[in-house]
Amino acid sequence: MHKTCNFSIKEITKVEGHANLNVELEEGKVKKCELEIYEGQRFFEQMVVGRHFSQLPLIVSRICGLCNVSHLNTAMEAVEKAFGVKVSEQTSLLRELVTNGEFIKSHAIHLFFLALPDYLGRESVLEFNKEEHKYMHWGLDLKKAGTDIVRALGGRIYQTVSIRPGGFTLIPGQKEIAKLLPLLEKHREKAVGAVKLFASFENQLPFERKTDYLALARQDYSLVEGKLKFLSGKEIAEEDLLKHVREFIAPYSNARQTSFEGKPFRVGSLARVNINSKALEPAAQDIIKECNLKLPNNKIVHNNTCQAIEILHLFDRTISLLKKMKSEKQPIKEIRPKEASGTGVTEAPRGTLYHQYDFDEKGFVKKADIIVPTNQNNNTVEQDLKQFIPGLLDLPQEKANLEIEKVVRAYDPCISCATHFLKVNWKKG
Amino acid sequence: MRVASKKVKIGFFSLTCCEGCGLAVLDLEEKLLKAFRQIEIVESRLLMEKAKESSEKLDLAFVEGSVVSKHDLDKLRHIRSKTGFLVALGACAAIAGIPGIRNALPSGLKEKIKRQAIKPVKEKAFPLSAFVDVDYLLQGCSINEQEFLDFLNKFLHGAKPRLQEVPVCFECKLRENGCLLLKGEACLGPVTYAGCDALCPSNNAQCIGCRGFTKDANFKALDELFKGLGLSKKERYNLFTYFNQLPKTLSCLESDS
Repeated sequence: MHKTCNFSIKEITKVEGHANLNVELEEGKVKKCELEIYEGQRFFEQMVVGRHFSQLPLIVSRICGLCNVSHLNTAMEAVEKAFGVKVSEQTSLLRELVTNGEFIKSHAIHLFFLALPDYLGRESVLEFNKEEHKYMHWGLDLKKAGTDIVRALGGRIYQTVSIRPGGFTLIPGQKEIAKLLPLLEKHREKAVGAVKLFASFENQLPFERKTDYLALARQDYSLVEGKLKFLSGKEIAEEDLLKHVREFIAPYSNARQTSFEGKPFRVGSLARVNINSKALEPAAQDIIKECNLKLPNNKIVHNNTCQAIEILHLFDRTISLLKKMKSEKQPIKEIRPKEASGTGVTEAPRGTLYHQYDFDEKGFVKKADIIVPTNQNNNTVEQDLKQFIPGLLDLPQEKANLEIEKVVRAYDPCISCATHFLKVNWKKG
Repeated sequence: MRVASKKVKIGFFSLTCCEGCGLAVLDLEEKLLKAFRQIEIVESRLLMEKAKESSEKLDLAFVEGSVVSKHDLDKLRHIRSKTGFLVALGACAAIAGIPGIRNALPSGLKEKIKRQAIKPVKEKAFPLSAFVDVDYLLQGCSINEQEFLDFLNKFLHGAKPRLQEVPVCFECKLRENGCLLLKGEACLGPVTYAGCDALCPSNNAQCIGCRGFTKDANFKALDELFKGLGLSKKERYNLFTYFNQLPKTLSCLESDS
C-alpha cells in the first residue's frame, strides 16, 4: 500500500445495505476514514407514521430478514409498554425461545458462511477443501437447530407470522415443542467446537482497541429485558437511552452514527459477553476459561468467538427451558390503545436495538424512532480502522483490503452488508 | 429436457430489501445441495463473498428487493441484459411490497424524505416490472421455499412454470382451516394470490396480502365486510395497503390517511 493514497472499498454494509469505505492516507497517517452508506435510505420511521399499532411490528420486522424477530420483539415491547399491557409468562417464554432460535441461526450463518472463509483464507464456503467442508455442515446443523425453533413457534423463519403484540396467534402443542429438543441435543457438540475453532483464530486478526461497550444486561442473560449497561459503569433506563446516546448524521453517509458522551462504543456479542459473562450458562463460562479468553476483551476477532459462546449458551438455556415448558392455549391479550409513547429495547444478534413510538388516541403511530445496532457500531468501526490501517502499509493493496474487510466483517454487520461488500476500487492519491 | 451434462447457470441478486427471501433459499439446505448437480451458482451475495460484476451470461436470475435508487436500476438492467430468464423473488421485487408503503406517504412527508436523503433516492419504491420484463414471480414476504423448489425443478426440466391464479381461500379450504373472516378477523385471503399454502390463516393469523392482490377480486365487497366488523376507514386503508397495493376500486379510502 502506498504511504499516500486514497482508496475505497466499494459495497460494504449497513443494516440491510450497501456501503463503501473511503480512506485517505497521507505519509502513512489516516487523514480520512469514512464509512459511506450509499444505499437508498429505507425510511421505515416515516413509513410507519399513520399505521395502526397492530400492524406496526409486522411492518418494522421487514427492516431485517436475519433479525426480524428482534425487530418484532422491540416494537411489541414498545406497543405493550405504551398501552400498559402485560403479557403472560408463557408468552414471554415463547418469545425468549424464538429469540434464542433467531440468535443461533443468525450467529451460525455469520460465523460459518461469512466470517469463516476470512479466517481460512478462502473466498467463500464454496471453496472450502475437503477437511474444511465439515465446517459448512457444522454451520448448517447449528443454523437448523435455530431455524427449527423459529419455524415451530413463529410459523415461518424469515418474517414470522404468529407473533403479535399481546401474545401468539397459535401456540404450538407440547408435541411440536418436544420435537425441538433432540436436534439441539444432537448438535450441541458443534457449538462447543465452534467456540474452540473461532478462539483459535486470535493470531489471524490480533487487532485490539480499547473502547466502551453497551448491552442490555440481566442476571439470566435475557436478550429482551434488562438494564442498559455500559462497560465503563453507567447504567441507564431504557427510556433514557436517547439522553445519553447521541445519534448524528455523518455528512458522507446515508446511515446515522451514534456516540456515548461523545465517544464511540461497541455493541453486539463481544459487548454482551464483556458486560454480562457471569450470567452465561455454566458450560459457556467454563469454555471461556478453557479457551483462555480474557475478559473484558478488546480484540474484535473475539466478537466472533463470543458469537459462538452465545450459541453454546443459548443451546443450553433453550434445552432447559424446553424441558420445563408445558404449553397451553391462551388467547392474545386485548389491547386498548390510548395516546401514549412507548419504548422498546432488546438485544438483536448484532447488538442493542431501540424502538420508540408515539401513538395517537386510536393507536395510530404519530412518530417513530429506531436505532439499529449496526449504526451504533459504524462510528467504532471507523475508529478501529483509523488505528488499524497504518499497520498495513507493507502489504500489497489487495491483501490490505482483505484485512480491512476482516475487521469490518468481524462486527457482523447485517448480512446484506457482509455479502455486498467486496468490490475494491483503488484510487491513487 | 435440458442436457444433463450442461449445468444451468444461476445468479442470485439483491436490490434494496431485507434479504430474507435470499436467506429462505439457503434454508432449503440439502434440497438445494442436491440441485447443485444440475446447477451452477455463478453469482450469489449469500454464498460468495466476492460479488463479481461479471458479464457472464446466466440462464436464470433471481432478483429480490425493490428498485429505490439509480444504483438498483442500473444493476437490474445489467442483470436483465445477461440472463435468459428473470424471476422476481419475493414481495419487494414483485409488487414493491413494504418499501412501497412510502409511495403513498403524504406529500409533506415525501418532501421531508427527499430533504433527508443524503444520496439521491427515487421518489418511489418500484417493483422490477416497472423497468424490465419479468418472466416469473415468486411472491410472498418471505417467499415459500417449497414453491421456490417446485419452480426450480420445473425450470430444470424445461417445463413452463405457470402462476396459479387462485386466492389464499382456495388453499385455506384445502387445509380445512376455519374461516377467520367468519370469526370476525379482517383477513385478506379472499383477494390475495395463493401459493403460500395458506400459511398465515393456518397459524390462526389473518392474511396480510403479501403475495399480491388477485386481478379480478371484489375488493368493494371485502371492504364492506371489514366495515361491518367495525373497522374505521383509516384502519381499512391500513389493511389494504399493508403491502402498498391499494386497489383502484378502493381509492375512496385514501382521503384521510
